[in-house]
Amino acid sequence: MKPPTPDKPDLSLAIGGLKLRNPVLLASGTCGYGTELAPLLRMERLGGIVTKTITPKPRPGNPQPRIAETPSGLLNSIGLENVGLERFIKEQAPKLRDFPAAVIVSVGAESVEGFVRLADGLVGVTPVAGLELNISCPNVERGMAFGSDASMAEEVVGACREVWRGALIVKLTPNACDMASVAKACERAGADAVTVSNTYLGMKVDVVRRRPALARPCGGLSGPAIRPLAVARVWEISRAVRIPVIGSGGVCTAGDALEHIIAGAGAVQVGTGSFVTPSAAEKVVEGLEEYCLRHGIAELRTLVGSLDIGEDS
Amino acid sequence: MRDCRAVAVGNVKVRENLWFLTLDLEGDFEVPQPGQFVQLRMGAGTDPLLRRPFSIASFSEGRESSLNILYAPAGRWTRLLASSGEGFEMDVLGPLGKPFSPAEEDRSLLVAGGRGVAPLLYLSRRMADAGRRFISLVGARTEDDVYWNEELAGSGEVKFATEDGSLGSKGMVTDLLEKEIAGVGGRSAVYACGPMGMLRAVSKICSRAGIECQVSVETVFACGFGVCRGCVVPSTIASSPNLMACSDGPVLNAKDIDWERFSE
Repeated sequence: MKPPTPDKPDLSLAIGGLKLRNPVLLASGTCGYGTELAPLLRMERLGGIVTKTITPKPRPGNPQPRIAETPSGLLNSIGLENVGLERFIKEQAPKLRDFPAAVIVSVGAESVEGFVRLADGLVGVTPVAGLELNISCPNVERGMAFGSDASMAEEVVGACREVWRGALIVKLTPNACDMASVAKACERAGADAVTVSNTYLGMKVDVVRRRPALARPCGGLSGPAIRPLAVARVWEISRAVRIPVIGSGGVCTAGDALEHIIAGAGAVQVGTGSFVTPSAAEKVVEGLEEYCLRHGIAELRTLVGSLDIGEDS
Repeated sequence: MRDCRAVAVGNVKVRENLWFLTLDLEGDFEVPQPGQFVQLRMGAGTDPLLRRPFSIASFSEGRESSLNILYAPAGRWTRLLASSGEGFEMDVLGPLGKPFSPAEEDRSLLVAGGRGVAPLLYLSRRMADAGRRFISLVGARTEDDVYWNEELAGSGEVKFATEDGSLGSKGMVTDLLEKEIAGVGGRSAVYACGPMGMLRAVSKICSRAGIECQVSVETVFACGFGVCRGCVVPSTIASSPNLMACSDGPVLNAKDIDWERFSE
């Protein structure tokens, strides 16, 4: 195999046994089940997508209003509206059969049994190459329970690990007291990577009506506003575990992605950025390639965690 | 559907609280159908973050296509747009959403309230060009607020209703609708766009009269193209409790909407 040359930088990486052509993924909840964005960007240019979270039974989601714009951000309280496992397998998976990037399915449940049922149900479903366990949703009852407690996280990840042979990623919550402990527990239990992170619990108030802007008082904050928060967590968690950290939070441009990567992320997810510019993820890939060419970097992975903080800490 | 660069070649105040924006689009742009919308982005900043949706009021094809929208400077984004002069660039994502499906028959009614005139101007033009016979009913608070651009709307018949009677009949446009429906000959369908309260009333009137009613709804959008699920409209359809305003709509059949659950 030819070694990468600076004219054609190697952006590839592996998460568990899953090889990705580059570290740019579309985040769960921002790309449906893969089809809606297809006319607006070239999926074959991305590393992969993470689908909307599937739950064991279909969910209608929260009452509206479910979204509110905030300074450089978006507050959402969608509430895991999804078609449920059965309809996903029957209706959505076949449409993804020839999807030109890795398909990672996000799953969420209220119990260990629920998570295992989802993982088990997706074994052998083409083309699902990985699972992202959503133990961090701030918009449903107990959605962050598993993500807030290291021993609960270890239990659910361990149970899924027994059933799922593909890439196993765990999406963490920044609303946990001790995210690093939860991350370490996930690593111990066999996770291949952790996504840092899901959204930040926030509220917007309508001061005229004296009511929350969202129906469900609080929601999850995403977008450029949270990028410094996310990058700090990526830095912290990437020093706490050895498995790859997937950075998620405010990635709209290649520069944003590079912040995450240099801070310690092996891969990044573009989420809210796609709402602003549907081709954002593709532009991120382009920008990463250009950066490597400009700086004579043959392999992007050498940049991961290359943050220079002066003296050792 | 494409994300296209455009230049704002015209940005004009046409009424006390209504502006008319003309965008020249770069490159190919699919010809939109009346009822479809575009998601506009102004500048490259992060605040305001999200694009804003606007129904297309008119579209002209050509080597360089051009489209028009109407907007009211009601919030930060629209006030910024109103203060931006002309000649600036915008990103235009579209055409998006499901359009009106106008019947082949004559004798339909277009009902417009406030900014809701925009998609109905386009619908009126298309129907007039196709030789349909229909009446447009346009309502506003007072004469100065009424906006009906005949150059865009084409040659259809139009009747006005103002709350203070300064133009057309005195009262709400829904009163005018009741009268037209009750008239001799019946009506084939109603296409409406305007404030939620007006749409709810139009829906009731049509339901009672057994007339097909298509409404263009508005709610808060984030993505505008069907992935975020923020813009849901509760529905009466058993197999699908939520409709997405941006992709199942914005034009929906009024009877498919669960008006009770649809909060303002």
